[in-house]
Amino acid sequence: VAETHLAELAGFGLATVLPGRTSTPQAIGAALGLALEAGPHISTGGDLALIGIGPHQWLAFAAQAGDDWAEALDARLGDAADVIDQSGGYRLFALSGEGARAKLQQGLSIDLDPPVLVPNAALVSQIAHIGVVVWPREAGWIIAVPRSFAHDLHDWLASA
Amino acid sequence: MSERLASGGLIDRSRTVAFRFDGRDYTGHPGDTLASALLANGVSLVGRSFKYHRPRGILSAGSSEPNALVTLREGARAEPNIPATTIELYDGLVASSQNRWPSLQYDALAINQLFGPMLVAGFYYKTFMWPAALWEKLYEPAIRRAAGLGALSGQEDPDTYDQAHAFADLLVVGGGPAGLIAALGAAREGKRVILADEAARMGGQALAERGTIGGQPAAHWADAVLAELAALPHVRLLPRTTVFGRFEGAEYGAVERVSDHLAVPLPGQPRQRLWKIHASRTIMATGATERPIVFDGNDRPGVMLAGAVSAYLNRYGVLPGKRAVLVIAADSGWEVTEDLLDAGAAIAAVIDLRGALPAALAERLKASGAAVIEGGAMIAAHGGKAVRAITLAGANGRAQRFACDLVAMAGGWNPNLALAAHLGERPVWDEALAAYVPSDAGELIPAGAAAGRFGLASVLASGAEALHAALGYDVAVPFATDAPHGQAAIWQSGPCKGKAFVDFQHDVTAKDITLAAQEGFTSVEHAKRYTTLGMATDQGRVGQVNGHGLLGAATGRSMAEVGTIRPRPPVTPVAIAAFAAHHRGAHFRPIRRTPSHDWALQQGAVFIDAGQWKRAQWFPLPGERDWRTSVDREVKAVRSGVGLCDVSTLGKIELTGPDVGALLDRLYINTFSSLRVGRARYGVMLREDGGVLDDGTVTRFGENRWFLTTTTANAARVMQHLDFARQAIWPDLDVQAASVTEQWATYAVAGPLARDALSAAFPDADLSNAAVPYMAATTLRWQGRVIRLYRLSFSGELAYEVAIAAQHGAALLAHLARTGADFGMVPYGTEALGVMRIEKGHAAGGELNGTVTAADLGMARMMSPTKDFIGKQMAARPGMADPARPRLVGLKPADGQSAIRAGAHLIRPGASPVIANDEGYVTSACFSPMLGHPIALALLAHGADRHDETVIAHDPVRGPDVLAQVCDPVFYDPEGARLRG
Repeated sequence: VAETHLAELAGFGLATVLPGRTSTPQAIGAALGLALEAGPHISTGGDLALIGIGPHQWLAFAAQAGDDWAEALDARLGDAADVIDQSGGYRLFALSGEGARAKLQQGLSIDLDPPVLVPNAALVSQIAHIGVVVWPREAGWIIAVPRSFAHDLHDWLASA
Repeated sequence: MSERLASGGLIDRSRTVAFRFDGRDYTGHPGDTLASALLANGVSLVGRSFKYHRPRGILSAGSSEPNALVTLREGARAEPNIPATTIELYDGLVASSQNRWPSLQYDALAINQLFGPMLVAGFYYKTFMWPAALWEKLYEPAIRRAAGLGALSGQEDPDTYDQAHAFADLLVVGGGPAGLIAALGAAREGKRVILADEAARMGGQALAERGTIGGQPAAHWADAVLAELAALPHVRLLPRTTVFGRFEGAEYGAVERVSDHLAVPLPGQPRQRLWKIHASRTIMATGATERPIVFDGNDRPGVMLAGAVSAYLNRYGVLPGKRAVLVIAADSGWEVTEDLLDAGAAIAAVIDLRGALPAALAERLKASGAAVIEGGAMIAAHGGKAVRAITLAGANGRAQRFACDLVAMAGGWNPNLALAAHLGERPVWDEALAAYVPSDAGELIPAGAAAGRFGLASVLASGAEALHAALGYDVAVPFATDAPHGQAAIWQSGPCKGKAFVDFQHDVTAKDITLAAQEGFTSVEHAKRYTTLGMATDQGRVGQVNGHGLLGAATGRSMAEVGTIRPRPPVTPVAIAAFAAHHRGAHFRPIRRTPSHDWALQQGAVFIDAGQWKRAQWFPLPGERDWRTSVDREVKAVRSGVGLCDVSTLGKIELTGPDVGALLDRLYINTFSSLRVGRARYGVMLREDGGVLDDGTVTRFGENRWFLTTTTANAARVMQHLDFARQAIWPDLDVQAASVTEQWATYAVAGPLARDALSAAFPDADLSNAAVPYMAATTLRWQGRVIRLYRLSFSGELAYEVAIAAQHGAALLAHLARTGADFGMVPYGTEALGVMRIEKGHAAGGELNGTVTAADLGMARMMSPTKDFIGKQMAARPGMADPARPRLVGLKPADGQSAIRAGAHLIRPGASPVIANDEGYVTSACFSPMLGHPIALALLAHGADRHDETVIAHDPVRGPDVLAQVCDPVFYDPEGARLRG
């Protein structure tokens, strides 16, 4: 049986990034110093990743973030986009190990096979009737789940 | 009597496994099914039939078995209605027969056979029509007891079931020769292939027949292909997996029996796994099912399908009988005859209902002493618990009787086409083939016998053609031997005056079909439902087409005119547990937990479901046995001191952008663009039709940063409404919005001591009335983290809502509870919250029930006349603005003590309790600990003008009428002095 490791991330920053009516992905990318790809993709620059979760909607993710991280990000983005902190709204689980993909595929109705799934794909879907945002990271996966559902999703992830 | 042959078969004779059937111990070999092992032990009686309790044996060697249904395993792991022909034998297997009492050998209800003439199609509907009242209590339970399948254990299933998704370029259903060659061709091209087969060992007919492929036995060829496939990383082999349904969007459902071949699943393994498979193309190589021939006594144990006889001989090394009669309407019966002769069985007679046998075979038979009848007809099979003899009429019409213990029926083969018809495609009749074949089914391509291509060589060619049609690839087809495979549309033979079975599992006879046709049920779908043909767990896979043939004969229609029924998923039964998988017990459905959940548990909270949320309902103290005691105490503590309540479940939305104020003006009935930074305002939203959608508060934290709350129940709906408004109706407005329901943990701190308690919690903050007046909001820092503080009140007391990013919610709660202890702060739950809001006349769930207008709630003056907003025009319709509509009022019992129940209807005193006199209803009710008597909120016609009148609260289901006095809905502190303090 392939090994799977489950861990929870702490101290991260997560925020919704919403461009104003006249802003563009390019403007956001320019403000953050990264090439922002539209669609369900992850765009990375420095210690920041922007995860496309919907049309004109991204989740900004930083593995380590201080208390006023979201406010600082809002200031960095200026007129390009507004930032709404979600660092408390989600719990993040990291799934890794040889069996991680198979485990995830049990719950996720999105093809995770490497030739099909592009390396920087962001997945907005459901696992066990719970809404999740999933993205690949460091030979594994991050699964973001709304905090109130996290207890149940953890049970699912931890089950055989 | 059946017995094991000395050699042959794909069983492991070097090992012996022990099993138990109906309390008796037997042995078999790995590779056996329960059915083959029973036959090897001379057991031919395996079950009793559904309606007549007739003795039944083993008809087939596959999953379409209608007779040999058993209960597999025992105790909590028992699973009823499993075909013995599909059960892999394992050491320690325990199975038992069903639908018999007291035993399989002596079944009391076999007496039903004597009432056979009465128990015809539609019998239950005709006989138990009246009195109707007896149906549920008497008739149905009695019928269910008598007409039974196996029973569930009633115990909790100790095993687990899981689910998984899979994706492929090609899904191949069926691991017979056609499926194997197609899978191999695609796999060699590097395509992702999933090959699923219901059996433990793939190979299909290659395992049951004696033909050769590429010069080697077909089974060896199959093994070699499987070995090549298994070595390829992009191929997934799913043995023991039934693809049971095809659904929209090229999605297939499959169930993998991961552990059913084990007594107990291995650690970490489920018993079964439900697959959802998405495939770009699918090749349906599901094979064909042999059809029986309808004649009197064709259900006697020992009467088998001819193909099954070959399977038991060639695959399992079992001779199913010592003296056989073959009844043939298809060329495949000739091969079975050869198989029997080669195995050394005695053949009493062979009748080919179509006419001549091949000369060589006829000679061989005659030389062996067998009678050869070319043409002629069946008359009947005889016997009780086993077939003993058969009577048939020769071509000259003379009846002859042959002793035998095995009758093999070769009625021809029906393609297994269910998957190709699950999305509504109608199979079509192929006259030359004498069978229904699949019509065009989009991305699904039939191959092999499932496509009506019979004979090894033709099957292999068909597999290669299907691969080409699916993916455009070609694959080399090895040479294979072929046998004749003509078949005739012969459905019945002989008089069929007694019990000549069409559907074995549901005991539907030829006479039932004729009767249904006579009574007007001439459509196949009607005849199916009237006779229950094909409605058993086997979906009538064996007998369905025979039934169509008899229906055609009875109504003078051709098979093409009769047509066939629409098969529906699942092809074979799937345990509910596989669909439920993880979602049972505590995980039946997802639960949402608040940031205070663990803390509330420690406090002994009683929880209530609010949608998916678990909320603390009240916090009983030791010694409080009655919920009212706890709730009354909590209310009094809040109103006299200070209380703490988790209100994090309220929907929360953060909005940014220069046009938020303009958007909110259009969403709410009242004005928000004028709201100052640092202030909050209550608002009501309408639907387009003018009815109230939701209420809540809006707070402005910055020039372009706003925050609004919704009720817990409407959080998602308001978010959707708001997104629709800003994205679809007014995309010109520059407004961004995101749900922050999960981001903020929010606690209400309420009561006259709320300010003192919070000042102790946040000693650096100025919480004075001047700094934070009623309906103000501010931010402060606690341990470096931002806290949003709102001076809002749902209880009517001096109150604050304190919010922090939810990952710190538990820490803040602990801090508030600790610092509040000096002020006697008590936690309170949703029940106390509800009592206090009723005392204050605040509308909530009971009032915001989808039928009310803002005016009904006494908020007509909140509706701004100077701006437009969603619902404004429709709310002005005469019916919506009628003053006679039920309006919000308060009610108190005239006697000062009788409880008024929510849901009670209001009528004038003296009026009779009929709908014409209905004037409204009670929406919320409680005992008010502050007033010391029950109170209620209600919607009452002309309510605002009827204060001090009396009405009757009529609730005949739960209790006597209560005389109530109408009053203002605000019962407590009507001036609102307390909340502004």
